[in-house]
Amino acid sequence: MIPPGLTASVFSQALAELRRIVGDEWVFTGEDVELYRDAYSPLWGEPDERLASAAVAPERVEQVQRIVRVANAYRLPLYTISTGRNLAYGGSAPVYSGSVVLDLKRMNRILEVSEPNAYALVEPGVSYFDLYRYIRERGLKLWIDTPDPGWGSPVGNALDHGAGYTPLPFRDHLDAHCGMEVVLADGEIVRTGMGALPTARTWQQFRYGIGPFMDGIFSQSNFGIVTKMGFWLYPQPEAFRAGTVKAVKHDDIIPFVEILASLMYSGTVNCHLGISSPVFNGPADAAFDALIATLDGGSAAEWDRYAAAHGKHFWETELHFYGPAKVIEAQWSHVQERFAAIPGIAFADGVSYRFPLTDEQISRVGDRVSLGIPSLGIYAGLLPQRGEPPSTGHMDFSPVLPMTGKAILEAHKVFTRTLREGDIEPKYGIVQSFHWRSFILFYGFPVTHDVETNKKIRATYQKMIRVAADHGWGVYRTHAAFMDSAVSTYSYNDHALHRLHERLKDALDPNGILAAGRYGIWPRHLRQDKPRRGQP
Amino acid sequence: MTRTGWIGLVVLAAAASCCEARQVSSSWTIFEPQAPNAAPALIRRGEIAYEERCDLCHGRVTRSATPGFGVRMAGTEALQAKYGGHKPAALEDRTDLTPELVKYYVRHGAGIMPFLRKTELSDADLDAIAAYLCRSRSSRKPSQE
Repeated sequence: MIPPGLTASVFSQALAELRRIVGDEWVFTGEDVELYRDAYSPLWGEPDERLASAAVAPERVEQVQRIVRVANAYRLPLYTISTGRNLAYGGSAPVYSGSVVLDLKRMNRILEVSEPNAYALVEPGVSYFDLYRYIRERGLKLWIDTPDPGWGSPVGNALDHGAGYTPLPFRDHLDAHCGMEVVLADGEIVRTGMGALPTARTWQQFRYGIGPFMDGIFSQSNFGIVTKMGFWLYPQPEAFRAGTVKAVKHDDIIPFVEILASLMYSGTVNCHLGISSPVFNGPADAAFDALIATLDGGSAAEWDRYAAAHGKHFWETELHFYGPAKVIEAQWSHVQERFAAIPGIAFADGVSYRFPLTDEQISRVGDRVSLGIPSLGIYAGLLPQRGEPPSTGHMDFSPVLPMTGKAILEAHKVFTRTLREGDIEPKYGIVQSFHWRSFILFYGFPVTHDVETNKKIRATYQKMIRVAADHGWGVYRTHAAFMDSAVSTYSYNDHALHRLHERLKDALDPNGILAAGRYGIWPRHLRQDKPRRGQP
Repeated sequence: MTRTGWIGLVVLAAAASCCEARQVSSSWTIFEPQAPNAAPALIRRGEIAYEERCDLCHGRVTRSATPGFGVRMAGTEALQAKYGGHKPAALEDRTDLTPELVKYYVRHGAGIMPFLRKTELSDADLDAIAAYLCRSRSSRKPSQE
């Protein structure tokens, strides 16, 4: 494959320049480029699958600068990845086919970890496993926060608005960052926040510096290449305890979330949590389908009869508490007092730990990510169960919901109906709290290497984006194949925000060499083909 | 040639390099690996790389007596489902692997296991992992048999 707009001869010259910068070994062409395919692509094997033309892997920021200058000279489209593990959202493949992947995996230095001030400064190729091992080997009393799975990059995950499982602010990874180094499209290096002060002593401790707070524009965008990023770490807590709250009735979700939100906003509950429904997340039968298909998606009384007939309670959540042992016992006690206002509410004590854990203790921990320990265990939950068709990956559909029970009820019914109309069985559909003050309802769409199956999955995924937007629920993140669709739903005032992104793009990257199409931001010369105002 | 189309060639290559092929019918061939004579240093490097890159999914499942505890391992669970106990589910317990097959799956993936790029796992480290997983019986620790 040759990048669009370049001849084979010019492309060959550009690759020769890249080889001079990084060495022959680190420019990948031919069959090695296949390793940059999105392993979980919903377009696998189809003409629209997003494919790279080559890849280049620098080791130092100076090489990144030289690469972007070559890209400008040749109009070579680049697509930056950090560890390339953004599976379910596009992996290591470009949004714009023919781009050269700028693979930053070799930039894998942990530049600083401060125990007294609880921060780290890392390069994009560092993985959560790398950072965890670094801290563990040195016995530092610090936790990282890791998403699940943990082979991704703290930098890449934060820039895609990813999140993990320990308390806020640490699990909202962009929110827990402090300071960036960015290579702009013209090769200039910028340091944000206090990093702009040549003698800075607080680059990882004060985010704002002076003047406009620029960091956000480098997330979910293509305005620069982040080559360093600071993160706040969680001082190792004394103890952890888990407890589960179960509500019986369909309408219990209203006071359930009201109480939970109050506890979360006031800081008594500060953990990641999922609100699951043994009814809505359980296996469907004919009675389930009949209720969902009704005009209102089933009344509360009808669902309560269904749940009782199946011996199920309606809602549950597991809460985690971190901190001094005495304090978290008091928090759990207070939580139970508050929830006791709901008739029939039930509580169950979960596991508890005192830190630090030994290696032997860690080997017995199942839910590692809640303790800031990276894992790949989540993949076992994605394996096909007996009777399910084999899949080769998944995509996440992830609309943001207000923190109310009413929204959860409505969303479950709306999306369950849409999924069943599309004959799609999601891998999960659970409300979760990752970021401040909102929920995300995650559905896992299995993808395969079968073209017809993937077409069906894509059609429903596309419809879900539209249905969500019609109800006021925008998605927070999406697979590369759906970025245009997702961004087009954020259309207030004739897509004013999207047009602002394009104006920034034109100013910062006039030749459009960086990650064309990422989150719907296309350079001017590719924009005319994109139906920004079209319906997804 | 598509990546899927390479499977046959890779398996044939495996037969040529380190396995004895035994034709059992017109359509099936069983490959019996011979003990490769990999250097101890290469095997040790492979063991380290295996622990860092593979063991998280393909290790021996270590669950405590409490249900739901102990980390789940997708690769081990998938191979347990595939072979139903006829072959060990943990890769380190297998004695029938060939270096070529190990390398094939790392670079091509299988099911939900994605392939790994060369910046994530170099060819040299992959050679070492293959040497480790295919080491001779005599070089294994008792617990690894």
